[in-house]
Amino acid sequence: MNFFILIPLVILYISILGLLSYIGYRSTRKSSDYLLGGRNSHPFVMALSYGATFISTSAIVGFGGMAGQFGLSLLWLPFLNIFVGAFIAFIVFGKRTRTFGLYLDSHTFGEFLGARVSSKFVQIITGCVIFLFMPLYTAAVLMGASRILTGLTGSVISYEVSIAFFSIMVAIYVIMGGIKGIMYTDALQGSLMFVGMIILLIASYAKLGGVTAAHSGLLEIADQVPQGLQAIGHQGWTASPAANSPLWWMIYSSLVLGVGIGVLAQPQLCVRYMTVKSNKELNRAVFIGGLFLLVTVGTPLTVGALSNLYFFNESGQIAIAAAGSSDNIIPMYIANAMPKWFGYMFMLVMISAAMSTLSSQFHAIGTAVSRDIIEGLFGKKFRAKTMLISRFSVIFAILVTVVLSFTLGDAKGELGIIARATAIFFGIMASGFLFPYGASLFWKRLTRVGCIAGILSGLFVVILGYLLMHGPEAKIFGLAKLLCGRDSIFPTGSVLQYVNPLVYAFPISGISTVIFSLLTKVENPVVVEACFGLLDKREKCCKLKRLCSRFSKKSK
Amino acid sequence: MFGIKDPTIIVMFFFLFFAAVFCLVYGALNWNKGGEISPQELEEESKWDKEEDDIDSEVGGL
Repeated sequence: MNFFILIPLVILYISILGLLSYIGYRSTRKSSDYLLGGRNSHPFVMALSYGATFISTSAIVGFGGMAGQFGLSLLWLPFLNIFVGAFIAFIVFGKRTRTFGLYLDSHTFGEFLGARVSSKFVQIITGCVIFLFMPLYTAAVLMGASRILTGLTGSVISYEVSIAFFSIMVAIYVIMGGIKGIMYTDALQGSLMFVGMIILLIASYAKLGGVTAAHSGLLEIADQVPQGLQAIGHQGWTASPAANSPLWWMIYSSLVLGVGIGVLAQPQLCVRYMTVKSNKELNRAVFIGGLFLLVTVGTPLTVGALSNLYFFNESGQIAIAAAGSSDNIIPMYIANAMPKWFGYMFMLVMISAAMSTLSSQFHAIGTAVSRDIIEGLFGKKFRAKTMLISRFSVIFAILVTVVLSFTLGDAKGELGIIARATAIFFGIMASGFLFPYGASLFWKRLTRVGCIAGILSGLFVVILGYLLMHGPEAKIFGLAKLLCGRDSIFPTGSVLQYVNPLVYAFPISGISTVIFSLLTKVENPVVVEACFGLLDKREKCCKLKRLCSRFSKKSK
Repeated sequence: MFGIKDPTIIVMFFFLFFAAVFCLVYGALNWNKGGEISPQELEEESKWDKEEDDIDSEVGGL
């Protein structure tokens, strides 16, 4: 890469981000501005910010690389991303979260859940889980981004310098602008990601002779799938893995289901619903978000699979063999298959994808500490200092993330840590919080005890699952080996060790929530009635409005 | 179809595009729905409601 072009380009781009961040900083006066953007964000900004936060280097490089290894069956993930991550999230969960959140005066995911069941404990435990586990996901995104920067510059920019660069950049604009700065920069970054991905998709199909020719070519080289992958169920890049095989469970339970439904309980995404003024903005965000996710998730997964044909035509090797690890497939494909100018653009796309996610993650960690943990423990004594505590918490979270990034030391990407860490964090949040959060929106009978039981049982089972049962992670922790001499407590060769813990932790969380709620009384009937009453009132007002307009039209 | 023979992958492509089109259509059809009702609108509606009641009571009186 020519550094005389790259450096001014990056400086120009970062200056624009700095300007947007400064605009956010200028209009951040109150803590509600810092936490929720004053609750009047534009739907375009909200949808792109949601999308750019959701889609990180993890989706593009991590999951794109996984598709390079496992094939097009991973495209069930963008389907769930669109249907669950955009439609269900905005319309089914988003509208109620916004309405209830406004009444409950909630500013964070933990505060929302805590206020809904009138429990400080729920708020504190949510904040603690975010504070403890989110740095794992944040570190993975940071490591992934740094590796790309290092890889695309031919190691001229070292891994350590890349980490320092991303950390400092993100720290500046999260600390300065709060969520307004983040959302403005996210919108720019999201637009760039959208354009970059469309170019990548079209150029890739064009290079391989068109849609049908590319897919047919990929089908013809199915016999090149390594023996090891064939043994676990791989049947080619244009075919689904063999039913009930280890690969089938790995793809569908961990990568597709974990991330596909886990998105609903992501704290950094849930607060996005509360940043808009009305449900109208959420309706509009579905329009923008659906299209955005189709392009930004669908493209890297499709291109990842297609890269096998490109590498095979060029070097006689499939993608994983040519790149060395799944995390290197997309950067290597861009460096070799795409024109040079696109390499520069892709670099900005990657910086955007990483920074937009990192900034929101750090913001979520910062607010989890200041609002959920500190305020949950010490009351409103420190409310006047929310912004200050948040900013200090962000600095602390960035330091923890940097330390984690170095200590995990996965600079070579052998473990495919990006996609795995994403799936783990999404799995933990979905197992512990999705059912209680969903029940808080749709079930009046949810009680404080039921909510706590759901959270704790889900978290307990999912953590136990990762420590002892789910082969890939249990092998790293080594606890199962200590107890029974195997990588997982399930017998060697059993398909059960490939089943993601979310598959059993989520139902257990749900059953606990329902049983404990039915055994106890609703502690705060006034709050519950007020929340659900707001929905009825809104419905009545809308009905009246529709009748009025129909009546006036008839009169005319 | 398009060089793909596995029916589940073909179905997946349909689902993927259907989901995106569904979001586009839903967003477009509800583009202006769900806005906050302003205090003026609420006032007008209650005024209209009151007028209706008056008319009803007058009609009832006849």
